[in-house]
Amino acid sequence: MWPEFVGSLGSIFEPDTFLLMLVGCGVGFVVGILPGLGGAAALALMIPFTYDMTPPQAVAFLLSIWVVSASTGDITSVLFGIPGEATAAATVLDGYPMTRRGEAGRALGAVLFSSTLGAILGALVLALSVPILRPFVLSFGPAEFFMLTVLGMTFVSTLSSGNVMRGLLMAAFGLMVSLVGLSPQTGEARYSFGSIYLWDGVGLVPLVVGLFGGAAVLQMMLTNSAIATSGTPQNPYAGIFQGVRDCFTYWFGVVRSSAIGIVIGAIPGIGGSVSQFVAYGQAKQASKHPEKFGRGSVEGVIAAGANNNAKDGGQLIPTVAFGIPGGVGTAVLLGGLLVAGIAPGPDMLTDDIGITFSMVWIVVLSNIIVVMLSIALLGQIVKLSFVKASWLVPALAVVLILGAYTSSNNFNDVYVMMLASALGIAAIRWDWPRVPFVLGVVLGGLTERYLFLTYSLYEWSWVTKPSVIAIGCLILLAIVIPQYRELRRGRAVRRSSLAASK
Amino acid sequence: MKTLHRTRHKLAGVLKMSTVSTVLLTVAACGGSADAGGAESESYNGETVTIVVSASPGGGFDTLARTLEPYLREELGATIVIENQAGGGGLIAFNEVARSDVDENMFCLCQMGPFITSILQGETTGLEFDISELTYMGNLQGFGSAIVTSTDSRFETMDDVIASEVPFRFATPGEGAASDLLWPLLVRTLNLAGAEEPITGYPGTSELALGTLRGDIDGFLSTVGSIAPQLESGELRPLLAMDYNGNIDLGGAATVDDLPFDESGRELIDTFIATNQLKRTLVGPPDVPGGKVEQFRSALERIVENENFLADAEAARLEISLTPGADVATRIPELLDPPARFRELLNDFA
Repeated sequence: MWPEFVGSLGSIFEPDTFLLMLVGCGVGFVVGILPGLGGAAALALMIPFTYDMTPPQAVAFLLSIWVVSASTGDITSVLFGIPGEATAAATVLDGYPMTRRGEAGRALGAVLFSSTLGAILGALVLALSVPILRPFVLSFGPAEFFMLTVLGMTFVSTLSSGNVMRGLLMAAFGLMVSLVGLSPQTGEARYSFGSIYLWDGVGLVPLVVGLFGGAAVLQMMLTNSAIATSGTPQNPYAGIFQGVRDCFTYWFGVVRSSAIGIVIGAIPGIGGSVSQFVAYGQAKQASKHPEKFGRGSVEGVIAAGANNNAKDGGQLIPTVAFGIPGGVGTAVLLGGLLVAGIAPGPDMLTDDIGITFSMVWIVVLSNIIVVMLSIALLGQIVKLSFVKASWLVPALAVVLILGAYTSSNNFNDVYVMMLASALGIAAIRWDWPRVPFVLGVVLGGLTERYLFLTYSLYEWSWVTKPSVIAIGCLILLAIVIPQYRELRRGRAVRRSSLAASK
Repeated sequence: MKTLHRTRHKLAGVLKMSTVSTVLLTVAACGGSADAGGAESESYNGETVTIVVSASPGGGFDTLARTLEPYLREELGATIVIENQAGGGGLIAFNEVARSDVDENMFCLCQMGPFITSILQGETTGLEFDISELTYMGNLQGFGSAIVTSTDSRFETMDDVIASEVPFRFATPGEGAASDLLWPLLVRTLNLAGAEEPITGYPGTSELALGTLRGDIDGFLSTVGSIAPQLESGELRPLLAMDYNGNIDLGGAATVDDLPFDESGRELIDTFIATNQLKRTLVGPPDVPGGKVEQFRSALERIVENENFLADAEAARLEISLTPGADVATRIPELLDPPARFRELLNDFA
């Protein structure tokens, strides 16, 4: 296996293949920065260009577009609070407050470098897990998916910014919104009020873009100040390298968030929208300074960034092993691979192992290239955070509208984005947490679908499945451990105040 | 200093205006319909033709549209724009085209079966037009589907499914999929064991394939191209091939002709396949000028003879078989008037 691993690196450095990978990195860079368009749509647009390419060239071109667009989606999240992709929403939570504090360079350095580390870890797992890919992917079915969605729900209290009751109410509101659309069981339209647009539910991209990005732009309009409300323009490169150093300081957070991304990414049916919040919630639970999360914690930025790209490596696992894509992006990528004459499936783990390993190298190399390219360009981009609102807002408003519209070329998405912006600004004004709402919307549909499907398949016997019991134990731990920590923290505070009074 | 302050104040006002006007212009650009200026014209030459794909990027519909695009551009001499408008089971894209009375150059690439089925079931909610009045340019892909199972399954052939006293656990994505109707039809006409209602709720083909490989379900119905990797690798085994004439080897699979249907069963399955045969249909608004209709239909006929196009389509696992637009237009009213037994079946599962 080792000679194939090394040999596949050589094939990437063939001049034509390497050049196409660079072109792919460029396309992915631009697409990732533009909210709404997304890596999947860009891949679909690019597939016709691969008709005359050899299989390694097509893989290099398409895969680099996909992985790089995921990395650069974080740039607008950090700089303007506008998620480049629905899976980059968690990056906004701490990245944007850091920018407002005048630390855009540090936040970008942290998110891009942690993304690269996450991608490398994801790719390594893809390479190392070749012998166990099949049993791993097959060990997750509807019952396990349902339990994982319940595990995701347990993070509502952690992500409630210190106000659990408001967090629960927002999550409940999110669950209500997730009910809009056709029932996955009966096909009946629910709460669609006669609108065909609502048959597929409320679009996640316009919702997330509005809730975070729209609210941020409205806030800028109302205050008419620069994004960075404190701090002075410093040497941006110093900030970027500080962010890179932070990734080494919080290396365990990078590994943990990457692991969550890889596992959830590898399971077709759950997706990156869930894994980002699970990783972020986990990072907050484990942090020594959870109170800083949501207010510009570099730990939060690192958790979101590492998770975002590690999930891509995870999603490649079922795509390669079974020809079953782990998400929308890999579904389009799979189409591209088929056009290039590559048939994903068991042969990719034996006869065509060279192609699998070349995918690993492309993920690693294109991430390294994009982080270098970003560092070269970001010095200038960071200065935008100090530009006055009246200059920036018109451009950002256009980006928001186009971002919402291009997600499905439907004008109703723009209305959803505007409504979500209003909701976002109201939530900021009256201090209601937004993340539990998004978590409710994302998980509600999945929870309902997999609960009913599980019952249809197993009735109640599923509750005794060992894997279900194992995830159930994790759920219990996720509920009990934060309570236990809170109890200990309270006791420590009481002890210290008692000691002080004595 | 005061002058400077006044100037800044004025500038801020101008900028606020510019924000509003920029937003309005962007909104108008997103919402505006592109008038191709083709009214009264009898040729597409030099005009812009928009093909609205009723599905997200990637997948069979989108791949077909993008494979077709360069050939259509060459044949029509027009600029071709591909636009994805997923949602509403294809109705959003379909309605967009049908109501686009200002743009006769806008077409939808969509599946006609679900629309016909919902009309027959009396569920016309969402259809904003009479489908018999639309302009049909051609249908590029047939039903081309198969019921598949895992290679490890105890059901090795369709005969095993028919003879088994243990129900075959058949699953579907639900939400009006063709397989929702196929399974009760097979259970009823072939006296299969188990309930007529399939297991529903799988999000899509990927999850159905994974569920089959895990052994959670015994099988499902899919377009052959969508499960090409698993069929070619031997992970999935085809049990019943329906209206498939492509290049993927389905050797060993039964065809509809091999199944022991009685006369009424045969009529039902034939009607079912005919209803779902219009799988990738190019539909335009009513009253497209005759010259343009003729040009478009002839272009499609030449494209499906083009070896380069066929090679591209084969690489993308697309099984191309053209039903000419005139035939589609004739077939639509026939499909809207099916045999009484088929209507009964549809009403039972409405």
